[in-house]
Amino acid sequence: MEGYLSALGYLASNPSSFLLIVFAVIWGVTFGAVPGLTGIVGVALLIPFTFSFNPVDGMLLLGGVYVGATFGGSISAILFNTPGSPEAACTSLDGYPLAKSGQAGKALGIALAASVFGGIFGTLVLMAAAPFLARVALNFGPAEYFALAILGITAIASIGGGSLLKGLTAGLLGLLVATIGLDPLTGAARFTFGSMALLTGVSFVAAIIGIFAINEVMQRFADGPVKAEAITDVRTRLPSWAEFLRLRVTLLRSSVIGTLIGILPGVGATTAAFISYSEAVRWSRTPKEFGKGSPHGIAAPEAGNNGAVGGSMIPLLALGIPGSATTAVMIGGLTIHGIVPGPMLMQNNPTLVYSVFVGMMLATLMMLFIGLYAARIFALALRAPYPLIGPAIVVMCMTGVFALNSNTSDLAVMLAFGVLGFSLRRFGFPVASFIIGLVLGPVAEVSLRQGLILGDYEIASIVMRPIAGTLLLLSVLSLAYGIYGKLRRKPVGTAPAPTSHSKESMSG
Amino acid sequence: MSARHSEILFLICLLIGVFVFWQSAGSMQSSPRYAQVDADLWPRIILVCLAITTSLLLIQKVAAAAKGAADPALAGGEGQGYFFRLGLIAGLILLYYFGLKYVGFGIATVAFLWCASNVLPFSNVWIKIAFAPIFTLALGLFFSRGLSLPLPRGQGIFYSISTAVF
Repeated sequence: MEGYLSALGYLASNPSSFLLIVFAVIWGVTFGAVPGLTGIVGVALLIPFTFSFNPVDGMLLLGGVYVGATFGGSISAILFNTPGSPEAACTSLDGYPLAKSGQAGKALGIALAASVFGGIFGTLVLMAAAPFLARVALNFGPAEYFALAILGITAIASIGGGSLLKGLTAGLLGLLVATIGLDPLTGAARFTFGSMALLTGVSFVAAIIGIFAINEVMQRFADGPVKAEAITDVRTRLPSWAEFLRLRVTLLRSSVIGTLIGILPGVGATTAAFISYSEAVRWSRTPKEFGKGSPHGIAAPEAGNNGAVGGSMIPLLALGIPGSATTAVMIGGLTIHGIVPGPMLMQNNPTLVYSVFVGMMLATLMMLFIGLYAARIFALALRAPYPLIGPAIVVMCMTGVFALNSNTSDLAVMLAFGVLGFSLRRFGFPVASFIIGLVLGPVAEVSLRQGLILGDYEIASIVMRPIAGTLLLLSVLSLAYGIYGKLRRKPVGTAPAPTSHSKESMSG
Repeated sequence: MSARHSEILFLICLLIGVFVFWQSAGSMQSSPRYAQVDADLWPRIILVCLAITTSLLLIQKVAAAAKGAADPALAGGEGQGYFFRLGLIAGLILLYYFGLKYVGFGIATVAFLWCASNVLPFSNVWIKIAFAPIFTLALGLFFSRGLSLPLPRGQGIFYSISTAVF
């Protein structure tokens, strides 16, 4: 309690800290919303500026950017089907269809409310149990990581209203694409076909921007001027109390999942968003609604990825281990000031740690207000005619993806994934399954192989561990339930004639 | 080509891709230390599963095509000029990619925006003409001066021009 009082005292005596948080959230939302820029770039660009601040203000600045960027990605995901950041890719799946149905304001409001809910939940957990949870997370070995990834992957069977076989094929395709590049254990080149650019693997940011944004622009241009699908309602409307209550279970479950995944070192908000989405589909009474603009399909990934923000700060501050790529960059901000994050940080520098806790809570609350206006500003672009805005989206995607690594081969990857995304959508393969395979594939593979090495190549050594075994059992049961559900829902009789909207829905 | 036939073609391409990847997995560098969990273990598991699901889908689709049944999940009934516009925008995006690589951000972006704005009908010519250079300049300055992030600069003389502007 003393720590919190000291932190509050610091913030009360330094009003400039509030301004810094406001600036950081606006900066973060902007970087999250512009495709390709991402929160990591936003944090990295501000690190040199932290030199001129004291360590507390520096960390408040970086923490605020992290919070803002995680929400910001959802704005472009919902309005343009162009996820501004990887963790928002999942939000496109239901956010964009809802926006296209004339309810962009509602979709943005759900995303904002879920982000704030997940953010507050994650930060409360961070404040209450950081050191304890960080030690629990260290008990997670390769077997548990593998089981966790498999739990997410098995949701492929439940996702997409169409064919089970198509869902599985798209998921397997995602898993296969994730293996391209150098093998993480042996260093052998896999499926690079002599290309040096592919040795580092497929850039995930380039891939998702290609799948969503380039695919969308190609589709819109090919369809011609379709005025009926224009997004018009762009005033962010927070869900009513009744709507919020209907989402409560999804919000709570996703926030718990997001926070727990955030605590695990090296997994991050993107995985949290996809596992939250998978679980929302799995536990839904109306799984067929997902991919067509389900509010639960927006709330789950947003609560999950924002929950992971607070979660990923736990191992950073309590153990000195980054919980995500962004927190890994934030370590740079701490070391600039000669601060070594780790178990002694809370004892040696309590004002810093507790100020970060309080600052992140403030940033999350401020996001509620800033998010309402930010969405309106970005939505101004929707008033421009599509013959201008469509090519401008392509230019922004190309520029943003190039800026990540100063590499035109990332642009080629983005275009290739644009064509792949277009093909998947055209032939009714769920894009969600493909992305889940792409995100969770590397985690599943590496942890399976590490688990087998540690267990003398006995698969029982993975299955028999209590946490891993339980998660795997849940995976098998849910896979069976998903397949049973699909078979039970098999359409009987003549299906309605396809429309562009139904095609959209099928694609994920 | 009908939507049904193009889907069958897509599945055949997928199967060929699985075969090519399987061959590639066979030629991966092996590691005696990790012999039982070598680099090809996980890809081969995926490829086997993918071959099974793709084959089953192909059988389903060929059987349905033979019966002449319609598939509601497939795209179809595209409007007039669908493939023309699709080919045009895809070609322009591809040209833009090469433009960024060889000509650089400024010239390639203005040219792309001008050309792409003519794919769909939009009558206000002056806005079309003004939008491309204004947007290019604003985005270029935001990235290069505001964020100090790199922009594609092209090659040769174009590199020098790009460096001078951004």
